[in-house]
Amino acid sequence: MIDGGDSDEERSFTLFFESIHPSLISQAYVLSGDQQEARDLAQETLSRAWQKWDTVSRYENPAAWTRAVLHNLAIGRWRRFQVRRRYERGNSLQEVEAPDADRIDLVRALRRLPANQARALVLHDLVGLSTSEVAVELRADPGTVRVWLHRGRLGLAAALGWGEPDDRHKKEAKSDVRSRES
Amino acid sequence: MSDLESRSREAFRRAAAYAAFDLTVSEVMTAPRRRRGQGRVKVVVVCSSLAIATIAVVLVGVALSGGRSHLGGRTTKAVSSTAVPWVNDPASPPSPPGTVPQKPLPTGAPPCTASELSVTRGMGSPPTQDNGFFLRVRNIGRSACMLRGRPRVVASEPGKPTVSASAGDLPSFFGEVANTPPGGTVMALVYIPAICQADPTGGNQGLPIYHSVMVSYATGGSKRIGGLHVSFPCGMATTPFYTPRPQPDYLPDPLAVLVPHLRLPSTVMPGTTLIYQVDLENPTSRRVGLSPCPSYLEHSSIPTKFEYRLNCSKVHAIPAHGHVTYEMEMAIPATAQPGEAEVLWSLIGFSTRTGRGQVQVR
Repeated sequence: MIDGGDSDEERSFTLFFESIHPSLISQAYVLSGDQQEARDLAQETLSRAWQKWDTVSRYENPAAWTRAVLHNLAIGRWRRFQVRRRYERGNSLQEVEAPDADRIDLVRALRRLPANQARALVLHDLVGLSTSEVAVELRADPGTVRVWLHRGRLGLAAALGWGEPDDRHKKEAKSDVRSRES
Repeated sequence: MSDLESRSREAFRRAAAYAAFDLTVSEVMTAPRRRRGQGRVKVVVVCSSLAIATIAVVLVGVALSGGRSHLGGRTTKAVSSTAVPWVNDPASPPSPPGTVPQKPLPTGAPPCTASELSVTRGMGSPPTQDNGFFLRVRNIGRSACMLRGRPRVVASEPGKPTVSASAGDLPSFFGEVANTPPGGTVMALVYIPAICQADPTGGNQGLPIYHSVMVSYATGGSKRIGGLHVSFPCGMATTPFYTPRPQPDYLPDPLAVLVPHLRLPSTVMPGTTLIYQVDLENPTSRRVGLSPCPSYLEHSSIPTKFEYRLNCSKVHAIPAHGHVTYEMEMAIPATAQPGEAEVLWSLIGFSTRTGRGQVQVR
């Protein structure tokens, strides 16, 4: 499994693991909406990073590589299994409804968004990357990422009943984009 | 921060807070590793056995390559005319591997008695106490028994209202009710939601804090679980006792048997397209189908990284004990630094192998 000659690599991977695994778990959970699925996703992703650590560790941004692998795995499972309803059916604790509804609604809404918008939202609003970091990670122009984020949030607003994406939101987003670009 | 953005961040924060599990580094370091050295030996062997042929092919290739363009740049190639041409198809995500069907866990053992059980607070529980905790009940008896029902969980401290857990359902993926062998454990999740309709902000200001709960079960016996610091803005609930579902065994990825060997030109110029070949070898006695058409990852220490789909238009399988040669392209950035660069290539899948080779950037 782990032999004695790898202690430096073990240490460096352990440091990397400690730094990334909480946000990776959150990302996996929001993408899958299922505890078991999310655990499998995060474990599979980090196992791949460990298997190829001598290569991945030399990348400029191993965390970005890891997030991309997680995203690809999650998308693959979405397409394969579609929406898994068992969690929704089986996890409604009596007298406690709102928390599950919140989470499931977000997962559903996220799945309805175009892939680029969903991915940008997860990286920016969940993982906490800046717009320019998201742009690098998605190999897109920062302006494009801002558009994806804005449209994605409008999509979430519509799906989650935050109120109609009214003029105030539109104006707010436009001024937001202008101020960041200036 | 705009109103929309703050609402979005809050929605993500709340959703992610329900990720009630954790991972340890040892769980992901158990997979066998591929080392750079192992791959390089294969490449060296292949390269030396093909050295004379490659030199000839490169000379012919260079002579024939005039005028070929990719993204408006020049090309550097090490190809023969028999390779399956490269296609500019975007990669698609890999299909997850199939799983070995799991048999239902055995049931029907006699009910557990109090003397057979030892209850503790489970490790690897939900990440925050506000979300609850697991109870781990171990069979310390000498024979298998079956624990049905759910624990009775009560929070009661002087001067504070008593809070009892309501009956929550058991999500099927948690596990199932089954026999517990000697030394085996069953679990129950005591769930303490922090956010509910009664208090959508998730706040617990002013609510009494409890430091322990009393757990008891129908067959007799009870235990106080301490070390808590929780309030109950939305009450609490508990699942039935369950045996955790074992992790599924994945069927091997058929693509994992394929061994890529890279044939690279000796040099490449920045700002050009590197054209090289990948020999995909199937050392097994079974053909490997290419449906759905697999994707691959090519990257280098330059650094570059691209993902494309294999050209499956004419070749639909790698024959047993055979190989298929594919032409590959990789755009080399104009900013690439001179020196030796390592090129890596692997099919995108589960435990697929990586081929490696070196090229000199001039």
